[in-house]
Amino acid sequence: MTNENILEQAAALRGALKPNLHDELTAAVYARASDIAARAVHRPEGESEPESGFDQRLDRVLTSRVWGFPLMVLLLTAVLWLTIAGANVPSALLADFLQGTVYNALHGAAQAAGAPRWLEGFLIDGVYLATAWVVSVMLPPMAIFFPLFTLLEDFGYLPRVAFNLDRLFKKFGAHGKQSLTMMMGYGCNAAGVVSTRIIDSPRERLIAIITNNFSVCNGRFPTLILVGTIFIAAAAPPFLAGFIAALSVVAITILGVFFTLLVSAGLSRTVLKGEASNFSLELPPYRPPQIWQTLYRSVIERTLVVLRRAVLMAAPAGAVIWLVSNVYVGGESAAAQIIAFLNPFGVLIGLNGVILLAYLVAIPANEIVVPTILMLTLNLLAPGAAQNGVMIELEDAKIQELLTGVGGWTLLTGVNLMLFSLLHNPCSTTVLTIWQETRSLKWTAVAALLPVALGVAVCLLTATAARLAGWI
Amino acid sequence: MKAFTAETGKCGDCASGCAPKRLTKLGARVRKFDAVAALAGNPNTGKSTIFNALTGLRQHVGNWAGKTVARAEGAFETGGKKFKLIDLPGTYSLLSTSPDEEIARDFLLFGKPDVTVVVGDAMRLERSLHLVLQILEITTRVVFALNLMDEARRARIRIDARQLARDLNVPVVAMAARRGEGVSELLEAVSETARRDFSASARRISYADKELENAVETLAANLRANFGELPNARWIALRLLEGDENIIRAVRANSLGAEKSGSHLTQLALAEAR
Amino acid sequence: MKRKAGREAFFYRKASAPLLTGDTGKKKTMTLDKLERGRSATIVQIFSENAERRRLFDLGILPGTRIESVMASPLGDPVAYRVRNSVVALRREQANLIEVEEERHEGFYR
Repeated sequence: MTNENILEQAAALRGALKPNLHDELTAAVYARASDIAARAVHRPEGESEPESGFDQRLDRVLTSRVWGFPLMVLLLTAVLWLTIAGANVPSALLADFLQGTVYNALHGAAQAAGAPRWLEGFLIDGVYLATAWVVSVMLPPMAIFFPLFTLLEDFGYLPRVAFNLDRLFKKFGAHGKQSLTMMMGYGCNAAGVVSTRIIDSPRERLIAIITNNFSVCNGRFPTLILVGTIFIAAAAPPFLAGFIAALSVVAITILGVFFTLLVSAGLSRTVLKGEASNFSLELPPYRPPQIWQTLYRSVIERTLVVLRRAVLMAAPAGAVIWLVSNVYVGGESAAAQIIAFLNPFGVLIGLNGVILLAYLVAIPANEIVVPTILMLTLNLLAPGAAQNGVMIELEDAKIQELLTGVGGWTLLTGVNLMLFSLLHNPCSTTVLTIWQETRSLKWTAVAALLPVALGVAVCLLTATAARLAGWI
Repeated sequence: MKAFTAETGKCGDCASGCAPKRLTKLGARVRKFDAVAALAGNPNTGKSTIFNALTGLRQHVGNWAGKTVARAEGAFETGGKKFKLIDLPGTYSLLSTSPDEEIARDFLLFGKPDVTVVVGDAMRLERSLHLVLQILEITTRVVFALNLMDEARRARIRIDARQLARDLNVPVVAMAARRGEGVSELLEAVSETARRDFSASARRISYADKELENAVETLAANLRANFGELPNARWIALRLLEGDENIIRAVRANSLGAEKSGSHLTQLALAEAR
Repeated sequence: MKRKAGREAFFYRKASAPLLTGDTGKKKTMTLDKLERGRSATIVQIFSENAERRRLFDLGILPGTRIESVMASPLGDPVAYRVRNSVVALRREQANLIEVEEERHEGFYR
């Protein structure tokens, strides 16, 4: 009998069997499992099932009609506020050390060694400075945000969020589990895209992939936090500043959820039409997070891994920034020419040429947007400032001074940079991941370009509104 | 990745619980190995915690279904043997159609691990056993790691691991992996199972339905005739009766019995499962 | 899920017929979505089809199983049910395809 014969025989036998084979098999296995379990499990006298009073009481609150949604927003605000408030001092100390002490020492050493001027600039003002900035801007917020988020995750809160939001997502043609993939996206969009595998329906999975970029990833949070702090919170009294900055970041995050739902609805009503699939999600018991292990794991493993990536991207980006700022073509630096070319369009949408060039340089990693903006502004618009080292140890106040005074930024620039940070192309790693997961050039292109188009449209809208209202 | 042995007497890394005896965590260094172990289990059973405890890796542990969406690999050394450890996606079953379940099942079937550790939840024993029994139909080289015994203790539930081991006919290790309890016992059971010579065929669940039972036996006999001593001929027969595409493909490609040569097919199945 | 063509489609569609039924006698039954919070019931039959039917069975939701309605999400849907000591959330239209028979007395815990 050949293998083909066996397959034919199987097909023939299949026709003769009862149609409910899978039911029978599962029921038989479960019956045996119950049997074995009954022999092995001994419950205390008088109790037929274990108590789960604590879980149920907590669930009543965390998923309650009244408190479910407010608590979600409150927890997000608390996490971001702790991140912002906690990162302030260490960020300043790190900047002081890396961009002050070390930076000056490096220049001193280079001059003592008699290194050529261009090499000194390339290595120290380019490669080193970009790397130092990424570390001082990113390390503290990440080292606080990751552990906090991980604690919530380990506790078992995230499935409750999916449970709370499922109805909303379904209404917009998406799957409730998409909220889980979004939360992975807050860590890293590439990880978020991979995690969409938990969604069985290909249609709903594609929607989740395309919209994952609207979850502000960890590389983008520092940008939002910085801009929120120096532009939005600057007007508030000092004791409220951290809270207002956190609120502005929460607002952008929630706007991201809004765009997720909007785009999901748009896709599911046009090109990705189809039936809503089903939702069966286990709500696991709450488990006390292991605080020290979580801290160790998320600081040492997660944070350093992300930071390493940022530094790997920042060093060559720093080199590129220095080169385009210092290579002169026809009397002007290449960067100045690119910026001059991009500037009219940038200003039209309430940004500027420096920001647009920064986003081009930062395609490999969102983390380096702010350092790139600062370096370009310094190198081009305030030449000499970088060299004499005065404005290198940037604190929030000095950054604001630089951007408004030298860069010509307004409140609109700040707001639009936050919006554009939410709505622009995913980083190249995420785009690559999307291609790997979908194997479709078309959907990869949609996922990459749709957010940019939205970003330009939204920024144009706010800029036009601001102009009409006479704010700028 | 930092590796350390407990023989030095120092536990420099208490973040992952104390080092059990005779364990060398090899992290992600998996180039050379003597045996392959797979880690299967329902979601939320602490599978990743056990993976981390064995390999010293810090795969992030999340408390929700589908956290391990891709396969993770690590390595450890125990009893003089280097094991490659494959962390399979958490699944409730091996019979359904989700990509995760297909990845897990195809690896067990075609990857032919030397030992499969099935992680179970002491508080949800029935559902854990549902998966264990399914896996036992594919392979008997199984160790049942009954995790979350600390939660069961808190609920004052006593579980007779010996009785379980008798009923399942495989080693059962009671564990509280988060506290490091049971890790050394698990290692012992794993190396013991890897050493053991298995000639017995996989567990059989017979079906009350005469027609089904006959169909399964007829097909299984023919499969054995073509592929030699298949430990899981009955299980494959059942899948053929269900019209399972992957299994039909494997029969057609004549790759069911081949020792460890199914790897390209696994790759194929894995790629298509995505 | 993708629609399968040919034999498989035929095979799975027929699987929808509820065959494994709990022994219920003539007692009154309802669909699971009508079960009040905190009340327990026994599953009589499941009308879901294909992948959804398999998914439910794999989660241990099958005829004869005891199930308790635990809580609803803030927007009223989905609802979480306790079955075999784990909590699983189902949407209303999923629960609507599960026929249950309510227990006369209240659950052991509420």
